[in-house]
Amino acid sequence: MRLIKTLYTFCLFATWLNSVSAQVSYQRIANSADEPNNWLTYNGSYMSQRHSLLDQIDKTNIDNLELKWVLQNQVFGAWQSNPIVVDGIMYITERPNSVMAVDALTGRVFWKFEHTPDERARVCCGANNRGVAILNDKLYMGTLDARLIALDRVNGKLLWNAEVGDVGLAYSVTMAPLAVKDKILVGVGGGELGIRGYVAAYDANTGREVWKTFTIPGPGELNHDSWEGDDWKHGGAPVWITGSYDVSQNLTFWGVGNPGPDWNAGQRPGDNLYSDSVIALDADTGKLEWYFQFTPNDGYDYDAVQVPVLADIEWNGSSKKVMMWANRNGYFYVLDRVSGECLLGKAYVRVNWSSGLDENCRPIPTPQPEGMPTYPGNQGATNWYPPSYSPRTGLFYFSAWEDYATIYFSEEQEYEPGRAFLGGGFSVLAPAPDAPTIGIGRTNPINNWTDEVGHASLKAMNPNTGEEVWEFEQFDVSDSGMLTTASDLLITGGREGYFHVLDARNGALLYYRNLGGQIVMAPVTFMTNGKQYISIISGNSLFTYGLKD
Amino acid sequence: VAPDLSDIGMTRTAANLQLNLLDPAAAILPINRPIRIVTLNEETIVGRRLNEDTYTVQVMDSNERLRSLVKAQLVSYEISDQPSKVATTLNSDEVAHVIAYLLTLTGRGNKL
Repeated sequence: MRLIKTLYTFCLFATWLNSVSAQVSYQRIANSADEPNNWLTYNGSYMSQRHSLLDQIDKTNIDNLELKWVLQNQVFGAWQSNPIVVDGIMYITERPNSVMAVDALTGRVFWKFEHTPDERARVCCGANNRGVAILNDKLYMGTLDARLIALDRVNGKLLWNAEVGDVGLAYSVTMAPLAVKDKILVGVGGGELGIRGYVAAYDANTGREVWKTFTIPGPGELNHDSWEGDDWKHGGAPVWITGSYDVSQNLTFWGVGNPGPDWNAGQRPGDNLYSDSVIALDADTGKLEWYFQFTPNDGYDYDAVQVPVLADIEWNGSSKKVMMWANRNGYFYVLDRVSGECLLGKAYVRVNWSSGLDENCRPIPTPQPEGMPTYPGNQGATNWYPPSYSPRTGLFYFSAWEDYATIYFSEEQEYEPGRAFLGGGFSVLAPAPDAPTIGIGRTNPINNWTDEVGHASLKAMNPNTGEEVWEFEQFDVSDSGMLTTASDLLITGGREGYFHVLDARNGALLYYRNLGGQIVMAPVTFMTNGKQYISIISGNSLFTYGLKD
Repeated sequence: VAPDLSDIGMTRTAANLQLNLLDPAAAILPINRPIRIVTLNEETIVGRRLNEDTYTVQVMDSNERLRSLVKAQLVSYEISDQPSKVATTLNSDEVAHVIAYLLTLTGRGNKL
């Protein structure tokens, strides 16, 4: 009897130990490079390089890639979500605010949690959700009605549901949260709807708000005078893409979106800080440590909502902690991420809203006459889709839009709570009257015009020079992010629905498949049962590829 | 290979139609640009581009056959920005009549 009791106690202990070791602790996320079989955060790691150390799939066997499974989305609309993968389980969100736990080996679903947003929820550009965060035994998802939800990652049960913003004032959360230490960090969307943006941190266990830092300083705060009158109260500056985290400095970095109203810069005089900036916030307190503004007094909707990509690179003969940033405004930047100093800024596409950058990387404005095209256009020279940096090649990779311009108009608009606050509009420069142009997303299988309106160029940039090392052009534009691997593969997609694999060193095309629907996320890779897989979403389907058995 | 005009009155304004008649080069839509393709097996294809992507192009050739071609297997692929027609020689009254007629073509049967 004593032996049975001892065995029973041992089994309980072993079960508990297994459960604890399977938890995704902060330390595991901070050391994600030690477990490349998993994809633990939206961008793969706190540094957001989207670079995997896996190398089983390489240039010599890429032709042996085959489709392993497909997961069909049950909801129509652009599927911008990025999966995370933990110990053989994939967690993926679906429009508007569902989460699924999926067997990463077969694509079969263990459970699905559905949150129905408040009917008052308003977003500018689609019911998007870009993914979950994981910490210990919980998953976290932001919602269109500006909630932050915690789920039990084993069974998908709701644990808590906290308010992040006022849904009645058009606050929303579309980004994947960022889990740091014992907190969950999110930003808010609503830059086209007159919000006042912020990043906030919540206790991971309870959902209690721990700190909140506004992206528009209030009265008495530093740089409040970059706004006039009451403009700051509804000046936008949303944060709708997941930030990055530097463990060594305990700093989180966030890209901040456009000021509002979007297209009437004259209605809100001043630099409008911290719109179109990157802000560095202490992870424990939210204290602003530094900022850098890319586009002061923006009248073009040049959100700086790109992912801050962190790396330690050689700079003038010594190692430097940098942040690389291809901005929507058409300039590529390298910043010192300790001080926020701009080390380099250079145009990577045709730019005419500015004639260049001064010695502090502040743009020299050259607004175009009324009715004339502005380059890059409203969707930007790039946008929210995540870039990649490969420490092996030393190159920074991202999707750019080339030869794309829009014609803006502005008008006075009075702020009305919860309503669109745009201050004008735009049309895309077209080759002939009534010719089709580029919009947000692709909804038609026919395209015989984008070579005359704009097209995608996947660029590989040398961060030391700001020069393009190689490019890979596509016929249509692309909203697809990047993935690089330790076998020097660069994996991406595009609106055309092609899954492309390139040689990260020289851009040579190694493999492509037509998956049929637009790819508006960034691929991920993981390993389970000793085999590497690549997952990519095209249209309404999540495809997972692996090598032939 | 002429474009389908059966609903032209729904998709064009009078100003656009006038521009098309008086200065066709400035008004030609991408889908109406003549193309000329030479394949690796030395076939020359003239026609109209229906669809295109990074790796392929779909065309209707001069014999109204649908062709799908892989760009890597082409020797040359030219898209002309010159229309296959010249500016009209009609006088302004005649141009106005033609525009008025075209605006009646709405794809729902002839109103006349």
